[in-house]
Order: sequence, then structure tokens, then C-alpha cells
Amino acid sequence: MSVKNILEVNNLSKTFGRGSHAIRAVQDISFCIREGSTLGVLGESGSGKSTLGRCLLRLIEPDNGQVRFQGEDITFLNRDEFRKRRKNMQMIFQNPYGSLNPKMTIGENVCDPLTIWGLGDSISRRQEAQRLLDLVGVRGRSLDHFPHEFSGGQQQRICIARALALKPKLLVCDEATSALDVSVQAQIINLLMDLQKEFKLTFIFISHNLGVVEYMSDEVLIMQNGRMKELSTTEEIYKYPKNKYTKTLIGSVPRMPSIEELKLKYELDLDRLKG
Amino acid sequence: MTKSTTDSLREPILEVKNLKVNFSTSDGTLYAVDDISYNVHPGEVLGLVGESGSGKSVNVLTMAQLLNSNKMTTSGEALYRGQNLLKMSQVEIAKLLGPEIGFVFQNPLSSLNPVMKIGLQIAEGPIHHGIITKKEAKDYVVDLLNKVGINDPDRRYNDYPHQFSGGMRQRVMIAIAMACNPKLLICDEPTTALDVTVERQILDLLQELKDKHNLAIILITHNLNLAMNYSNRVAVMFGGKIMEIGSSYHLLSNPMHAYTKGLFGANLEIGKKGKTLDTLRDAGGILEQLPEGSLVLSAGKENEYFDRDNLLNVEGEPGHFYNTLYNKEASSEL
Repeated sequence: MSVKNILEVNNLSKTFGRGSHAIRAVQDISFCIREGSTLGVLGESGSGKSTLGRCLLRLIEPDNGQVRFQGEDITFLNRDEFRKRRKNMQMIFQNPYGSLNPKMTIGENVCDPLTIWGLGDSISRRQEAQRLLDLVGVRGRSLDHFPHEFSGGQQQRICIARALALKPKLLVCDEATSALDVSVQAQIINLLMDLQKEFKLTFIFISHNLGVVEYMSDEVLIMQNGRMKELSTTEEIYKYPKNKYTKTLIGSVPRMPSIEELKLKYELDLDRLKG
Repeated sequence: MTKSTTDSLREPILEVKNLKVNFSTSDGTLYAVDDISYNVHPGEVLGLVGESGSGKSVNVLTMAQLLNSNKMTTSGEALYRGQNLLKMSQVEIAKLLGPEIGFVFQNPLSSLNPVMKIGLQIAEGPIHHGIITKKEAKDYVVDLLNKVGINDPDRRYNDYPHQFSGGMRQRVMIAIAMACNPKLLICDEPTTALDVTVERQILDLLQELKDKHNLAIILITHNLNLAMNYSNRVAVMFGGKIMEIGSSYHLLSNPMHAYTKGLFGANLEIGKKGKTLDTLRDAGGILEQLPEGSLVLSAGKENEYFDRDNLLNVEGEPGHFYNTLYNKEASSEL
């Protein structure tokens, strides 16, 4: 049996404002994701990638189109019905500090979803919080610390732990590593990929960083001005981009120069000095 | 070899010697910049790379006396053409900022005055320094706007910052920095807030200006690819220290310090898919504030202690320096 599509999106659109001021943030976007795979959404600022991510979870209500999650149309479910499905879809945001409640300890933050859903009692929730924090690599710290006592990378780990608390199927990561340093970014990416393998998670990875998206994704969706420019496997997009915009985007990333190039530059510098 | 090839051949425009900047905080002393030495020559781009909190910005801001706090202590020298910037009065340094040293900051919107036409903002510096008169301002600025690639400069002269896009604002910032023909341009994360397509245009512009005016540029960035592409020499900073400095060629072909190797390993660029990604440092112990004692820097299988009081600066090959521990055995015990 072939792998099922966990998410199907058909002709999704969202327009902010109306008349001449209308901003068509997401225009007629369709795609589907197989369970356990990662879709990268790539675009420059203002291209509508975040709006798309939010529309999928109905954090922003889409105007048009259809989102099917696990085969079921969730676009027009009423609040209560939608809430039941929402458990399986979680989001990780760019700014970890801004998305943790500063007045709650990290333990409370992580088991907040469990509390909201009334799962377990306070003791089992605490145990679960500890387990999740261990899982994401926040070890050796008590649950009773507050978010500000942690570094950015640690805070992002705490956000991931919280997102995993309800054992979701789909995780939307909106610029989840953009605020982090390279070494921390590498840790978070490794963590996400390990978690994906372990729990068969499906990721939608929204980012403007072409390197990160390539590393994470099986398929990549390129957006510009709210429109889908290209959707293909990661290899196709990066090696054989078809769309003109995709080509410009891929071409403008500074790549690590080759040692030969740098050697040439170095020798030129030396010559210039002598001459 | 005691003196590097690069040094002996021409006069550096900026020489930093044993610069230290400490901040006293309630949690103890913070070594923001810890005994660093480097120099920059005309016509050269020196890349300063490092993660946040490694002291890249504090280093240049201190030199221009743009950081002032009674919690701060500074020692060492920063010689601009032989004059120590750190010993200058505010009046003396104000004469240098503009005609000699230009700054480009990360966030162009907050560095520009929102209620002043950009033409006037650009002309402000050169008029103040007596390079041009008020009458000449318009022609001078229009010419500058042309140089930094802003279309229709005659009309744009009277526009306000909010009427420009992010990339265009950064061009305006560069025009302001270049307005008094500085010899040294300090760019602190000039493209971090910009999209990749715009980033490239801005850096190409800087490169072009450098070649045309034989500028010395200090390019501060956390983007390793960018630094390697646009710099002649690169300094890698960690915990206020320069861990390794050398030509971009030496650094890429033969990185000596575990931290530099780690940075290359953790760097995500196109083409890394499927390869393992190195992580630096122990996952549980990311330290924002650096302790006085030692901490472990690791890159893949290699481990190296970072002990700020016990570092030895070694020249691996001409012009390529790196820090290592006095007592190497301490690190092999790990």
C-alpha cells in the first residue's frame, strides 16, 4: 500500500483588505504531503509563506479553497469539531521567547497543552513534561525554571517539547531556526530530524534560508507574491530549477567558494602587495 | 617566521593591539572582547565571523567610542593610522567618523531619521565636515545616489526613508557612510535583515566601492559563506577572542581550530543534504554568558577546551594565526 497523503491543500487563497488596498497574500495554492515527509516552503519576506502556514492550521481563516487533513475536509468545520483535529497539528514559531508564557515555568509551559485538554493528572503531566524535555535535550534543569533563564536555542527546544506534548502528526515550523546561531541551528535541525524518524512526524518547514530548506525537505514549494512558483522534489528544485524566479533565488545564495577560487584570490593579494 | 607576509609589505590602516572590553554585571565580569589583535589594510576586506555574543560588534563599536557605559572597562590600543582611537576625546573622534571611518549598520530603518528627507540626511555629514557647501549638496548627493545604484536620484532626493524598500534603505545607508569618502568602512551585519537576492546586490556594491576607492572594509557577519566569498582575510571570534585569523584561502583549506572546523561543519549551505551536520558544543550546555573557567568546544569527534586564561596564539602558516591551549594534554583527557 502506498503512503497516504496526510495533508491535501486545494486552491487555498487568502486576501487581506479589500478593493485597491487588497493584499493577496496567498493565491490559489495546492499541494499535498505524504505522511512522514517534509515539505519546505521557501520564499522571500512578504511572499506569503507564513500566511500559508497559518491558514493550514486556521490560525488565519482562509477565504477560499480546501484543506484536507487525514482525508477529512477541515476548512469549514465548526470550532468544536475543528478543535478535536487541531490536536494533531502543532506549530513552532520563529521567536521562541515570544511564544512561551513568561509567567509560567518551563514545566507548566510544556504541559500546558495537556492541561488544556485535561489529559492525566498533575503528577503524570509533570512526568510527561520531564520526559519531553529530556527528549529534546533540555536536561539537568528543574521544571521550575522560567523561560528567560534559558538561551535562545534552549527556549526553542522547550517550544518543540510543548509542540510534541499532544503527540501531533503534523508540525508546521515557521522559521523555527531563523533566530538561532549556526551551531544551535544545526542542533535544532538534527533534533527535528531525529524526532521525525522516531515519531513519523510530517513537517511543513517554512523558511527563507535555502540551505536549511534543502537539508530538511523532501519536496520544496517556492512562493513569490503569494503565488506558488514551483513545487517539486528538493533535488529538482535545487539542481534543475525550471521557473525563472526559482533560478534567481537559488543563484543568489552565497555558496562556499572553492579552495581553488580562494587560492587564486590569495595569490592575487600577495602579488598586489609585492607589486 | 615571526611577522606575517601580509604585515611586512604594507602599512595597515587600522591596527588593533590587545584590545579588551569588559563589562561588570551582577553575575560577574563579562569578557566581551578579550585581548584581540588584528589589522586591516587598504583595499582589503576583513571578515569578522562568530555567533551572537562573540564580541564582533562590541569590538568595532568600542573603537569608534560608540559604546559608553560606566560598567565598561577598556584596555589595549586601536591605532587608526598610528593614532589611538581609544584615547581620543569625543571631539577628536567626531572628526574622524565620516571623513575617515564610515559605518553601515544592520537595521537601516532604525539608523535613518524617519522625518528627514534622505537627500538631506546624506548631505548632513559632508556639509558638517566642510567637504561641500549647502549649495553643492544636491548635485553631490544625486551623484552618490547614482553610485549606490538608486534609480531616478533627482526625485528620490526628496523622499523619506519609509518610501524606500529595505534594500534601497541599505543603499542609502551606504551612501551616507561613503558621503565623506572614508578610508575605512565598518559594516556591521549589513545584509542580515535583507532577502538573499538583495543581499547579493548590496555586497557586490560594497565590493565595487572597495575596488574603486581602495577602501578597507571590516565586514561583520554571522554568515560564513558570505564572509568567505567577500573577504580577503577572515577572523573567527568566540567568547570575545579571535580563535583563528588568516586569509580566507588558509581558513577554508586548512582550518586549525576545532571551533572553526565546527563552524564549517555546522554551516548549512546548498548541497549539504544527506550529510551529517556537525553540532558545536554539548547540546545541554549552551552558554550565553561565558564563564571564567573552561568550556568545551567540540567539532565532530574533536574536542578542545576553551580556557580564556590559558591560550597561546600560534602562527600555523604565514599570516594564519590560531589559539591553542598551553597545555594540550588537558584537552585530550576528554
